[in-house]
Amino acid sequence: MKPRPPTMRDKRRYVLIRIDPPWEEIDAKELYLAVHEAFTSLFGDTRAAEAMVAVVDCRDGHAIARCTRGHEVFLQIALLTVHTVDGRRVALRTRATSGTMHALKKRIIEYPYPGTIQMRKVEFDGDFCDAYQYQGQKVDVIAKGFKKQELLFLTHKELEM
Amino acid sequence: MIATDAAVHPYSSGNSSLLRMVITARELGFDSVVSIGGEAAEEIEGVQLLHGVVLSSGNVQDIRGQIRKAGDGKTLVMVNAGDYSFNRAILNMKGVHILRHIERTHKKSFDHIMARMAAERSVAIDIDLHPVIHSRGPPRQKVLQRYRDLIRLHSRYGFPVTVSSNAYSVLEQRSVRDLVLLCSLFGMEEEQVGEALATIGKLRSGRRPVEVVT
Repeated sequence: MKPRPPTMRDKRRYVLIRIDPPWEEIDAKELYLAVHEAFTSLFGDTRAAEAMVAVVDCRDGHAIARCTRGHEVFLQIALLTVHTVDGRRVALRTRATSGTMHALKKRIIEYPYPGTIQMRKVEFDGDFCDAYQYQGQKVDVIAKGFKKQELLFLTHKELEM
Repeated sequence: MIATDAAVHPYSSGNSSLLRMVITARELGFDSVVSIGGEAAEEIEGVQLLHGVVLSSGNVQDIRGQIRKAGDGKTLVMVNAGDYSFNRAILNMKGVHILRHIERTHKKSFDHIMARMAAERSVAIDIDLHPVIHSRGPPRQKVLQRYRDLIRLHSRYGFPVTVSSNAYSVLEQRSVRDLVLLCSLFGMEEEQVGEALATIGKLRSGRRPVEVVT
């Protein structure tokens, strides 16, 4: 099939998303399902069909979502209502919107912290737990609870005390 | 105080420490935060920290007693809304700063008479964005309907409104820009959200709205 000429294609917008916590490895397909569910739940099937939401990239604590031009605000609102991806609690924070993926990929490099995540053992409540330290003082502790693992968001100062 | 998150719940109610929530709030564009049940402090990491208490008894007498205990002048007193007569009694009570969880009550529990009363007594009504983010389907539709109705009353009677993330984790905190987007779902303009975010500062300064005396 002959490809459509550029003037007849749908104009698209790309949204750069930062995934919190940055050490959580999220699959692009799972992220797509969560974003699509959030969008459909909030704006309905009709607008979801118009927006043609897709997740085109997901790595280094960032993801790039795509939609048709004019629907980027709806996509941003839908992203705010995503709180769980594949059973893991996350926050999706919009960083930038652009007409090309190339511009957003350059922005990913500008946010350096995914590369500086350190995994270490910390003592918390008399127990040694796995922890991720990043951005200087942020420490996410995976504490072993009674039934399941519990995630605690602390800082370096509090662990020193 | 230009932008205040009207309620966050640090550890041990939530899973994030107070310091971590304050750092996140600063990154998200807030200059002050109301901590529910946290330690009282003036300023951490450049963010002004206010202490708040939530009173949730359904009995007016209990609430009056709790206000007497909590009302040291520095603590923000918030009361969870109830039925019509309860809300009316709360709005008439001294020492109450914010009435919250209106969305959980019956549709008729807050009407135009109470809107006028809230405006006269400078009691703010809280818009909690937690159910907007976390619920789905009919419960969220109900919340959006209530907030839309509340904003209509707010535009007519001008009572103060606060906006809160009601976050129990740093993952539930949202930026100032995010709050503007979420509030647009129930017809709140950007200027109105800006005013709502600055309401806590006005409540703290004790300035009452200008009244026209004819």
